[in-house]
Amino acid sequence: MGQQQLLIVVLVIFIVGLTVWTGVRLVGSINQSNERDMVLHQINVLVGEAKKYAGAPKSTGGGGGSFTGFTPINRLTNTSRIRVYMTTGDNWILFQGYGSTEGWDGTTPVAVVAQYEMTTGTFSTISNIN
Amino acid sequence: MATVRIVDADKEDRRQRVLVIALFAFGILGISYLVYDYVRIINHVALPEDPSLIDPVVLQWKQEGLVSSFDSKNGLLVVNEQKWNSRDRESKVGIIVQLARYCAQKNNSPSWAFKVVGMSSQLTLGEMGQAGLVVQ
Repeated sequence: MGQQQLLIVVLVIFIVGLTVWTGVRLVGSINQSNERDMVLHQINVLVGEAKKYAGAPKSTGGGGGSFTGFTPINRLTNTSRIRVYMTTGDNWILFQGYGSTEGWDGTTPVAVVAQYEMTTGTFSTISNIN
Repeated sequence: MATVRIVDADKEDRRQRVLVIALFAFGILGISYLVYDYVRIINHVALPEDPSLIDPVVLQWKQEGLVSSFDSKNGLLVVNEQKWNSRDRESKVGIIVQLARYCAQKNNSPSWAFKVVGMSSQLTLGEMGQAGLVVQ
């Protein structure tokens, strides 16, 4: 076998290894992305519940125009794959959501932080933390 | 015995050279992706979901020089501005929110009040307050 052919064999082995490893990382990355979308979807469900709460008068157990005091049922914040923690102000609500797949750091689960503003009706912050 | 014409041998040689160059290019591309992937990982903050596991992480930040002091009772983090500003917004948001939850849990408080202050400038670099999350 000539020297050039030997070089080709070595390079092919190296590139096949590299491709397999990169493929594994890419599939992992797609899984993480899907999980982040799931967390964000759950946060959107919670925003809907929070808006219903804020829209109801205080006399009926609602927030009377404020998110303060909003406590969702456990089923919405703790599913089989997702955990969402939250804190509220008068016209904002902040969520910290975790998935089950390992995130970018390879040790802790994917995490998303989102803050919803009542005045604008939009999220002022959506950050993929991990 | 098989004979190879000089023209054919040259053609084969050129073909192999192109193949080697192409393989090298693929190799360089692959290594670039790995380097990019690695940089993305090491630049990302690793925060445990369980707030009770946050103490060793804060200790590590102190050793790295990012954190000067952390007062969990008053929800105050004093940081080195230069190191803080070198982090991306996602990391800053992650640190503020996680430490805010940690302090709330530790102080048995429903409020996630928390502030990040610069060591030398004493400016507020980020906070969880009346307006919610604010990151400078």
